[in-house]
This record gives sequence, C-alpha cells and structure tokens, in this order.
Amino acid sequence: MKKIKYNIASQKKINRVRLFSLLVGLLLISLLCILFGMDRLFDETRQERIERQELALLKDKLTDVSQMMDDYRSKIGKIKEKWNKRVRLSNSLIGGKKFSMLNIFNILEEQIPNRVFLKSVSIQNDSKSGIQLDFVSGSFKRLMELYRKLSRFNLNIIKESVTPKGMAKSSVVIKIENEGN
Amino acid sequence: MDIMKLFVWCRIPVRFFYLGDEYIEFYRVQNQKVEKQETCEQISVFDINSDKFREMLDKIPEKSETGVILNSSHFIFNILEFDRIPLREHLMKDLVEWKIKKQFPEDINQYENHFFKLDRKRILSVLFRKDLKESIENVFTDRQRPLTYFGNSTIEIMNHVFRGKSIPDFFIEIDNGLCIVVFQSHSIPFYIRKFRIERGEEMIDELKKTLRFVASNYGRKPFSYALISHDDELPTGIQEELGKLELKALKPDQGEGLFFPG
Repeated sequence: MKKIKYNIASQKKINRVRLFSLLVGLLLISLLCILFGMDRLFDETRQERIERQELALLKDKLTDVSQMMDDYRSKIGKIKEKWNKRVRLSNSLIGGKKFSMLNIFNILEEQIPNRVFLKSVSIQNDSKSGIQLDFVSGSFKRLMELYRKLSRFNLNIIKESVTPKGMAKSSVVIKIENEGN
Repeated sequence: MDIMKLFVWCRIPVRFFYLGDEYIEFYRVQNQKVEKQETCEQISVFDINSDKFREMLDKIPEKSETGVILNSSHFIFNILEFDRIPLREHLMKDLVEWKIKKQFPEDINQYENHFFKLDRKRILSVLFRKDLKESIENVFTDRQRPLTYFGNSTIEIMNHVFRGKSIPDFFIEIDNGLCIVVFQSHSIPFYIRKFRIERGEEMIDELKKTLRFVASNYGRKPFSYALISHDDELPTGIQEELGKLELKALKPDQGEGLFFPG
C-alpha cells in the first residue's frame, strides 16, 4: 500500500534536511549527466575525426583507381584504333578484289559446244555466288551436251524453254573457281 | 502540485499528544521509540481549552514543534468507488465532493475533506470538522507551541499494519468504547466501519455482523486479524470468539508506535 500522508495541520514544516538532500542529489545527478554527456560529445568528435581521415584515404584511393581506369581506357582506345586500321585495310583489300573475266570466258569457250550460243552473262562480285548464263541452241540435244560439259562446275539449271520456232532456251548457274581464290 | 506533494516532505515532530476517548496522553516519539510521558484522564477533545490541558502543554518547551494524533471518533471515512478516476487533482476533487454530497447529509463545507487514491477505482475520503481543527490549533498557537502534525490514529495504523511483513486481512482498533474495523485486500483498504459500544459482548456481536457483511457484500472471507487497543486491557472474550471463527490473530511489531507517523 502506498503510504497515506495524512497531516491536516496548518503549520506544517518542510523537512529542510530531506529536501536539501534531494536537491543535492538532483544536482549531483544533473552534473553526472552533463559530464557523461560532454564525454560522449568529445568521444563523438574524436570518432568523427577518425572517420573523416578514413574517408579522405578512401577518396585518394578512388582518385588513383579512376586515373588507372583512364589510362587503361586510353590504351584500349589506341589498340582499338590500330585494329580498326587493320580491319579497314583488310576490307579495302577484299573490296578491291576482281574476278578474272578472261579466265571465265576462256573456260566457257572451251566448254560450249558448236551451235550453242551464249546470250547473256550475269556476274556478281562475290566468289560464293555463281555466274548466271543464258544459252540459246538450235536443238535440245546440243543443250544436253552443254549440260554434260558444265556439270563439273556445279551446274544448276534454273529455266528451260523451247520457242515455237524450235529454238531451245536455257538459263543456268555455274560456279567457276577463280585462280587465286 | 503533485510533484510538490511527492518531493516536499513534512518534518515530523518528536512530541505528540494522543487525543483519545475521554483522555489525553503525551508521548515522546524518537527513532521509532515511543515513550509515554503523561496521561490526563477525564478530558475529551472538546475540553482542550481547559486549564488541565494548558498545564500539560506548558510542560513542553516553548516554540517546540508538536503533533496531535486523534482517534477516529471525529473523523468520517468513506471509500468511494468509481468506474474511472481522473488523473488531474482538481477533477478528482470535484468528483469526490460530488459523490460525498450525494451520500452525506450534512454540509460538506464544514469539513476538511482530504482524499487519497487507493487504486485505479477507489478513493479514500477523510472528513474532519473544520471548527474542531481550528479550536485545537488555536490552543497550541496561544501557548506558542507550533502544531506541525495533525493526524489520525486509524490512518497511521493502516500505514504501519498494511505495509508490514505479515499483513492481517483486517484490523480492529479499540479505544474504550470506540471500535474501528478496517479490511484490506492486496494491502489496500476496501471497507472501514466505525461503531461505538459499551460492553465487550456487544462488540463481538458487531464484529460478527461486520464479518458477515463483508462476506456477503465483498465476497471475502478473512483469515487473519490484528487487534490494536489503546488500553492495556483488551475487552474480554474478543480473541476467543474470533478464534472460534477460524481467524488467526497477528500481533503487529510496532506496539504503541502504530499510532504515530514514522
């Protein structure tokens, strides 16, 4: 039970000794709090200074790293430029390469039988694509002979037709390996 | 105000007058030692202006602080129950006054009303006549003995008995024909009854009635009690009769110190 303080006297006297002890106690507690608080405050400042130094060190390290990165980047750029030059040169060499048309015509002249006529030639600047040839012949038999002769050049017959006048037309694609290719 | 109440302690005097039922005793109370120095018989609180008491008062040094402890015959106790007690002192005061006005037939302004929060729902209100207090204080002021403590014996007993090691379920305070019974639960008083009787047998009957009332109204069966008497001789048969009701008597340690603050 909480003590019931029942004193209805009009001339109550305050217990000065007890009150003074309380005030002194409160004062001491306040002083301790202030001292403890100040100590903590100084501690924090000390800690802050250490952290600031650590931060400066980290910043220096970061600057070094970023400088290294720049160096590497410039080196990579130089290497890239060198290789780009080489690639450009290779491409220009590839682009500048030409078919030996005479060689192709020589081969065709040897292979086309008599009375078979070469009507048109389509060549692309690409070794992998074939040469499209359109032939006209008086008979189908001669056309067959042509096919037989061209068979070793990966012959691919695209279109065949016979005109009402008996002329046989043929469109083929062959691949002739160029010298130096 | 509450903070002041908590931290500003009142000085307790060394010299005390106990104003009993038709007698006044003078005590010296120091370091929990109580020493009865004088008794004046055939004098009541209303005779305090008499020469008999003035002579008694003159024996103590002038300007020395003095206290009086009155028995409960002129005090009115009320344990008031509320659903919720406000925290603010003035609201609590208004609430207590409103409740007392509802159940108290006399004009409350003639009384000093002091109240104490017992728990979350109960407040103990103590009423004492202002004119009686003034007349007692005037005597002390006239004789230049500052009266710095004005207390009540039942409250002092409560403070000692209900805060001790072995706490009885109730205590009976007897001062001649005046009998006060205070019941506690968890060291907090929940029922106080005051009655005046002439003979021991009547007192036993009244105590039995009170026990029955507490059992039926509060649903509590007490197991122990403390009998505190201002007289050396206890009314005969009380302990035997209460023993028959399976009530164990506990003896408080403080002796006469129970009536004084400390």
